[in-house]
Amino acid sequence: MSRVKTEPTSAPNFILGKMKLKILVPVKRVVDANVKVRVKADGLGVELANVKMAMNPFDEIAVEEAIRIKEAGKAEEIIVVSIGPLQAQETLRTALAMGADRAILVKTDEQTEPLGVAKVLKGVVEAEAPGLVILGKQAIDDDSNQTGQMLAALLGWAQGTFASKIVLEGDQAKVTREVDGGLQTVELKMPAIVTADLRLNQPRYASLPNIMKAKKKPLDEKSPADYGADVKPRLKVIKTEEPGGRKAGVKVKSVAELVEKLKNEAGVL
Amino acid sequence: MAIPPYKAPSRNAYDIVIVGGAVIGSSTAYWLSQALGSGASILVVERDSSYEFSSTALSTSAIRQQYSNPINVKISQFGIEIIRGFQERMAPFYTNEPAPDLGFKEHGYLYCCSPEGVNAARERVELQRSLGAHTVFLEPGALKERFPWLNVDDLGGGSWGSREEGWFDSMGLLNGFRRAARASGVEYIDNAVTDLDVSEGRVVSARLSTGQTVRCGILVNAAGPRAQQVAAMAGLSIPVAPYKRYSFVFASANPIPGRMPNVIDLSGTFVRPEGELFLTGNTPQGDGPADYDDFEIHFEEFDDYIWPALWHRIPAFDALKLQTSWTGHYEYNMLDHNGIVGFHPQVTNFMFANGFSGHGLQQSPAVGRAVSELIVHGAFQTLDLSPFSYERIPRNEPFLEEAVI
Ligand SMILES: Nc1ncnc2c1ncn2[C@@H]1O[C@H](COP(=O)(O)O)[C@@H](O)[C@H]1O
Repeated sequence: MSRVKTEPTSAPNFILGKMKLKILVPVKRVVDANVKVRVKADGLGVELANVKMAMNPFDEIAVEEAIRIKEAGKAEEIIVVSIGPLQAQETLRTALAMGADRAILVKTDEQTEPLGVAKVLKGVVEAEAPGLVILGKQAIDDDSNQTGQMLAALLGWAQGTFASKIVLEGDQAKVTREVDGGLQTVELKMPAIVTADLRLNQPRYASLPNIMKAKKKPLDEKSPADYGADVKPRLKVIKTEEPGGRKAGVKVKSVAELVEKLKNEAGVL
Repeated sequence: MAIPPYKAPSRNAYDIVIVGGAVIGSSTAYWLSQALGSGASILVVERDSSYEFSSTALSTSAIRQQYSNPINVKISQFGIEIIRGFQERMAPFYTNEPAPDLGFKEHGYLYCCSPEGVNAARERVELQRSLGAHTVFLEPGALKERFPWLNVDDLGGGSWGSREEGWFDSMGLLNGFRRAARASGVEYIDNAVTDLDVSEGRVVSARLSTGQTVRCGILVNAAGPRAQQVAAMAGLSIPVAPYKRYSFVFASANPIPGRMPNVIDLSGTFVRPEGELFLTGNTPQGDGPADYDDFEIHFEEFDDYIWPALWHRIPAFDALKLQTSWTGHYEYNMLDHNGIVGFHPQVTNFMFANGFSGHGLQQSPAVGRAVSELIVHGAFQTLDLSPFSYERIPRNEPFLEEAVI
């Protein structure tokens, strides 16, 4: 693996037919979607001690899409990258078990934020020269929905966000986007950034034999400084609150009372 | 869930005080209330009526007939009878709403059997059948035919309970007993017993964490994993401690067709369907007494032990994904993992209903009834549970049950 620091992004190495596409998929380790999160006593975050962590669900979809593109013979290598603590290795191993080829852990114990992550990813892109970066549309822990867009801006690349379909043809990526009230299809010239939405695909489960095999796949450890990036938090959390509890229901005695309540209390009629 | 605020009892003396208001305490309260009517005063003290950490709530809630001891088989048969008829039995206590249906899933248990274990397994099956159970022993070929998804290559066969085994709603059972007991005059309070006063071989009173002292005619220890804490308050000792059990719910990429039983693998790992998902657990590595408040889970147990065992036994379980998990406590009897039921010979009004080692929920109907019989009649009236009496503990004479999971 040669790592040329600043390969010109204008000369992609994926011209189909000659050299195939490299896909980079950033994956974040987050609290498992099935866990009921609890706010920490100090209100500055959520309880993470002894809580099950997992790959951000949208990132699983992004990994799955990259694997399907590779299985269709349109990509040659899938690199997954995570910016986070040592345990983010587990998330990377899951992606490798699903079918990614190699992994990079950019290790930091800082709470990562979209801009810092995007800066690291820019460095990784410059070092690895992928033709396509597929991210999740958002991380379910901070719900930022910013990293893909920031990365596109930092690189000056085209972007197709909220993808529900990706079709690659030559150096074009046709991305169907889920927008309010319908679908929009955009054509991007690669290299490009795509962010995955829920309906893009149904990610596969990593199988036990593949989990075993994934233990032998390469996993590099780097630091943000290796990519000239600084991931120190710039945002300050002031308060974290649980959603308000559901209010108790009421029993109505008649249809008339129901209609009255819907009109005057719920304001839905 | 927060522990509800503690309340003072309404009286300062009761005929019977039950320490612990989960399924054992509530079954006991139920049977006592039905036997004694409102003539007796009964207090149940529950330290956390949210039941968040109670073994009843955290149980995997299954019932089986496949035991090696006749008495355990009979206890289960009575459990099945109660589960089946629960809605009807509880109907009088639910006047304007349906009584709980315990959602009994009668899928049976399938105990995998090693080639060396065939003879012993066949003997157990014979014993169970002689007592009226529907267990059958299946040779590897027959096993494969009935359960094509099972790897039988390293098995000598399997014993399968085709009827009257399965799983059900544990909290429904607890809530029914509790509601019926209260409706029949039993008082439940949120509070904790902090100490017992013993005088001349009797527990005379219980002290509560809110400062009151209540006198008692009889004290029942139904404190589950905390049984030894309560025993110690009376200067007694039983070898019962909390043992952690992890439960994992997972999704499988490949469904298992047909009516899947609760499969007990040679490794001690169990797995059964839960809707479209599956529930699994095992005897964790380094099993031993845990702290009373230790409910920390170890995901490695699933990744490194349970999943490989499942994949070996059921090759369709190659691609799985964990959905939820929790940790519960067994009230583990370290002498012989069987219950302790009966009065203490020296502190003669101290009743044990402890140490059920993972079968407490399924045994609770019979145990509650047996405890009630001892208290009301001074002797067992229906099932003779004397093999579970406390006397074997100081004599260090285990009453063994081979079929534990
Ligand atoms: N720490 C991280 N490591 C790797 N990828 C990340 C990280 N944070 C965010 N991402 C990627 O950016 C996407 C959007 O995240 P966000 O902007 O935080 O909602 C995620 O779905 C990931 O693909």
